[in-house]
Amino acid sequence: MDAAVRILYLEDDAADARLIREQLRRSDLDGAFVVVSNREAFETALSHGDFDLVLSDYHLPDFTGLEALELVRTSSPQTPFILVTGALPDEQAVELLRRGATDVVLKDRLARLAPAIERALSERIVRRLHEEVQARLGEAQGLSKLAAEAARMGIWRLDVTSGALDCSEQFLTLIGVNREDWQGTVDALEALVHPEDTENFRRFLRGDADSGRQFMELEFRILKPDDGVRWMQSRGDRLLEAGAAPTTFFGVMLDITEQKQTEQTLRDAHQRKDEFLAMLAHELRNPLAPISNGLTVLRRSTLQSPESERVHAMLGRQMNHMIRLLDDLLDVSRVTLGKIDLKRAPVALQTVVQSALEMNRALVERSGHQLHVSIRSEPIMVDADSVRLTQVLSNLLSNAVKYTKDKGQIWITVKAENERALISVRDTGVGIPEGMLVQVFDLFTQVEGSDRLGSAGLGVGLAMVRLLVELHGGSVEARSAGPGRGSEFVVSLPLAVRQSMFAETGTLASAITPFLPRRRVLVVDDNRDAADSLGMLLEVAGADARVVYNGPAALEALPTYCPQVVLLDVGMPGMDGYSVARRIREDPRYRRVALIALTGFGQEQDRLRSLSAGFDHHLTKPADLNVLERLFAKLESTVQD
Amino acid sequence: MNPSIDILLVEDDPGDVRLALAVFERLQLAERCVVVNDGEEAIDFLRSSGRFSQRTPGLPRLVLLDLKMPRMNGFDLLERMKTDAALKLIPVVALTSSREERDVDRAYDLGVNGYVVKGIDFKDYQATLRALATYWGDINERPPGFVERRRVAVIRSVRTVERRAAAAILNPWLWPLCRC
Amino acid sequence: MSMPCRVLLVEEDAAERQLVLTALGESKLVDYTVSVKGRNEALDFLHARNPFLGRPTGYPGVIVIGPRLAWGIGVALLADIRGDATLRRIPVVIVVVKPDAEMIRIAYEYGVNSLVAISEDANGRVQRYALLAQYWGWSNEPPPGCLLQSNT
Repeated sequence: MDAAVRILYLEDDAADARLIREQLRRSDLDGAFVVVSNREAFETALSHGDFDLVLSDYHLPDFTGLEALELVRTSSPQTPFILVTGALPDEQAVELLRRGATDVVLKDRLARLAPAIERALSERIVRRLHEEVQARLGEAQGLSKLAAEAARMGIWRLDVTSGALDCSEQFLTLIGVNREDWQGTVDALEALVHPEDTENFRRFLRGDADSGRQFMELEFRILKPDDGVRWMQSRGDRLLEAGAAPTTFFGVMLDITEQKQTEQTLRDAHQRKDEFLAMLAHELRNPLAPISNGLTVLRRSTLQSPESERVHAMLGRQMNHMIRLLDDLLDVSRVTLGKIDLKRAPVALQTVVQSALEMNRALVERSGHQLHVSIRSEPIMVDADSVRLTQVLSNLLSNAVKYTKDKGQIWITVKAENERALISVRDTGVGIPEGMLVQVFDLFTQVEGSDRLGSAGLGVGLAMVRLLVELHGGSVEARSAGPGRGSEFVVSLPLAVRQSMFAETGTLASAITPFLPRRRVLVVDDNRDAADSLGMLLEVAGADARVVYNGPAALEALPTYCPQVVLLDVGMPGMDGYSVARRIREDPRYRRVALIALTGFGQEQDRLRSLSAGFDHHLTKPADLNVLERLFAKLESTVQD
Repeated sequence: MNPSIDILLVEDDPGDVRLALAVFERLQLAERCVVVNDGEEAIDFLRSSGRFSQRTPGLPRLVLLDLKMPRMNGFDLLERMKTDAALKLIPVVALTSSREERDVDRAYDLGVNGYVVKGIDFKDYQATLRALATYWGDINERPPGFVERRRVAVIRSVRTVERRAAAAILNPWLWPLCRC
Repeated sequence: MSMPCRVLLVEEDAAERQLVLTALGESKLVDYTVSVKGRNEALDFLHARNPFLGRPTGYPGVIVIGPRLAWGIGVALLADIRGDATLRRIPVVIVVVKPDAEMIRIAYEYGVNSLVAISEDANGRVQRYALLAQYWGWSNEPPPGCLLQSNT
C-alpha cells in the first residue's frame, strides 16, 4: 500500500483515535494521519490539506457525521468518506451511504476497516483512470468524428437484437433525414432503401447476427427525397464490450454514387471499345479477300521462276497469317459481345481430344516434341459445343508446342473428378512468371522474351480459351513453377448429368430411322451404363438387343438367344472380350455371328490382336450413331437371316 | 398457537383456483391456502373485517393476485396493500393472464414483488405455478412477524380430500375453499 | 418467454461471483449477466455512465445483490434504485447469509422484491442461486424495458 496515504480523521475520543490508528498501522495503511476533534479544526484541515481519505465518527460534540459528510462533499467530492462509528441504526447508515458516504464501519468490527479503505482508494484510482481514458477517448472520438465528417462518412451503431440504430449527424445528412424525424431504428433506414435492394439489406443484417461474422459490408441504394437514388456503402465491425449484448455493430457509411457512375461510364466505354474492335476486324477482312484472290490469279498466270515462286509462297503465307489473326480477333470480339451461340450437346471428351490431336498433328510432328495422352476408355461426357471445345484444346496444345524448345515433352490428361471433367495440357516449355498466371488470359497479353516456334500471334488465343470455357460454365487455370520450368493449363468443366452416351433415347428415337430390321444383337460390357445405353440405342435403331455384363453370361446367352451380332467390350475383368471371341469362334455353330470389338480410347494399337482373336470389326467407344449405322450397313450385306 | 395463512389467492376463475390448489397441495407448500374472489374480499380478509371478522388473526406470507377481477380489481388491491403500513411488507405476486406492457408497468409501479403470466395452456400454467410456488414458498425469505404454521401434525396423516375437509371443518376461514 | 431477462449481479467477492455465474450457466442466463463489484459500479452501469457509456439500451430484468457485499451498502444501493424514477421498477433480490429478523424487515421496508438466505455450504448455494435465477430469469415477467427483444 502506498505509504503516502493522507488520511483525515475526525474523532473526539482520544482512545478511539489511538485504536483506529493502531489498526491502520497493523495493516500497513499508516501514512500521513491527521486527527481533528471538532468542526472548526475539521473545516480548517479540509481547506488546507489535500487528503486521500476522510474517516469520521458519527457522534461528535458539536456536529454529526452527516454534517461532516456534507462538508466533504462540498469541498472535495471525489474524496472517499468512511464513517467509523459505534452502534448505528441501519436506516441511518443507509441514509449516510445514500448521501455520499463510501462505507460505514462499526467500531466493534474494526477488521473491516482496512479492506474498506483499500477498496475505497482503489476505486478512486480506477475512477480516475476511467475518466482519463474517457477523456482520451473523447478526444480520439472527436478527431475521428472530424475525420469522418471531412470524408463525409456517417457513423452508426446497430444493436441487431433490438434493432436500435444510433447514428451521427453526418449519417443523417447522407440519408436526408432530420434529427427530429429520425426514429432511431434499423427499420427506419430500411424504409428508405430502394425496393430492389431491400431483400438483400434485410437478409444481410439478419444473417450477420446469426453467423457470428465479425465484419459487415454492404452496398445498397436509397431513395433520398430531393436527390433521388443514391448508392450507399456501409462497413461495420462487431463491437465487443463487457456487458454489451453479443450482437452490436458499429461502423461507417459512405455515399458512393459518384463512384458507381464512374464505374458505369467505364463499363460503357469498354463496351464501345469492344464493339469498335469487332467492327475493325470485320472491315479489315474485306480487303483481304480480293488480295488473296489476286494472289492466286497471279500465281497461276505469271512465269514460274524460282524467285517468283518464293515471293508467291511468302505472300501466301503472310496473307494466311493475317487472315488467321483477324479471324482470332473477330472470334474474340464475337464472344465478348455475346454474339456467339454455343451449340451444346452431350459430347465425349475422348472425341474432342481426338479432333484436337488431328488438327495439330502436323505441328506436333514438325516440333519433334513427345506427346503423351492419358484418358480413360469410358466416355467422359460433358454438355458442350464440340467444335468450340476442340478449338480450346487445340489452342492449348498449339501453345504448348510453340512455347516449348526442341525435343520437349507435352502431356494431355483428361479425367473425371468430383463431378468435374479436368483437361490438363502440360509442357516442359518456357513457363510463366508467377505474377502473370492470371494476366496470361487477358486479351493481347503475351509472355515476354519467349523463344517461340512458329509465328507470333496477337495474343488472343488464351483470351478465347477463357471466354469459351467460361461460357461452358467451366474455368481455366494456368500453373507454372516459373520461367523455364514449363507450364500447365487446366480446364475444369462440369460433367454432364448423365454419363451415358445419349441423353434421351426418346428424342433420339424420332431422329433415327431404324437401320437394323429385327436383328438380334447381344451387347457384352461390364460397364452397365454403357451396355444399357448401347442396348437402348440399338433397340431404337430397330434391333432386338440383349445386354449382359460379363463373358460367362454372354456364352450362356448364345445358344438360347442366337444373336446375329455380338458387340464385345475387350477390356472386361475376368474373361475379357478376346477370350469370349475366341470361345465363340471355336464353336462351329456360331461361324456366321458377326463379332465386333468395342475398344476404349488408346487401345487402337490392339487392332491386330482383335483380328487374330476372331473379331470381324472394331469400334472405338463411345460408338457413335453414324459409325454404327455404317458398320451395320456393311454387315447387312454379309449377314444372312 | 397462532396459525398463520400461507397463501392468499385472489382469483375469480374457478378453474384456475382448482388448479392452483392442486399444485400447492402437491408441493406441500400450502397447508393453508385461502381463496377470495376479488379485491374487496381480500381486504376484508386481510383486515379481519366483514365476512372474516371472526377469523383467527394472522397475515399471509404471500399474496397471489389476479389483476383483472370484478369489483375492486387487482391493481387497486395492490395499491391499498402497498400503502398500508401493516400490509406493505407482505410479498405480492401478480398471477395474471395479461402480458401487456401497460399492466406490467403499472404493477411494478405500485410495488408488486413479482409478476407471473399464466400460460396459455394447462401444462404451462402448471409449470408456472410450480416455479412460482417453489420460489416464493421455499426460496424467498418471508418478512418477519409471520409465524410458521405447525397445525400440520394432525392433518398430514389424513388423505388429501379428507385433509381438506378436516381442515375446512376445523377452521372457519377455510370455508371459501369448500365453495369451489 | 423465449428469451430470458438480463441480470445485473452486484458482488464484491470474486469467488462468490464465480459461484453465482456457474449457477446462472445452468439456466443459460450467464450470457445475459453483467457483474459489477460494488454499489458505485452498479449505479454507473444502470445509468450508462463511464465505463459503461456504450452499453446497449434497456435495463436488467433483475438486480441481484450478493451476500459478500456489505449489508449497509447493499441496502443503500436498493434505496438508490427505489429512489430513482427510471430505475425503481427493476426487481431487486438481496442474497444474505443467515439474516436476522431485523435485516429482513429492513430489506422489505426499503422495498426489496425478494430476500434469499443462503448457507455456507457451496453446493447448497449453487442450487439456491440456480433456483433464484430460474425464477427471476425465466418465470418472472420483468418490467417493460427489461426484456431482450427478438428479431421480428
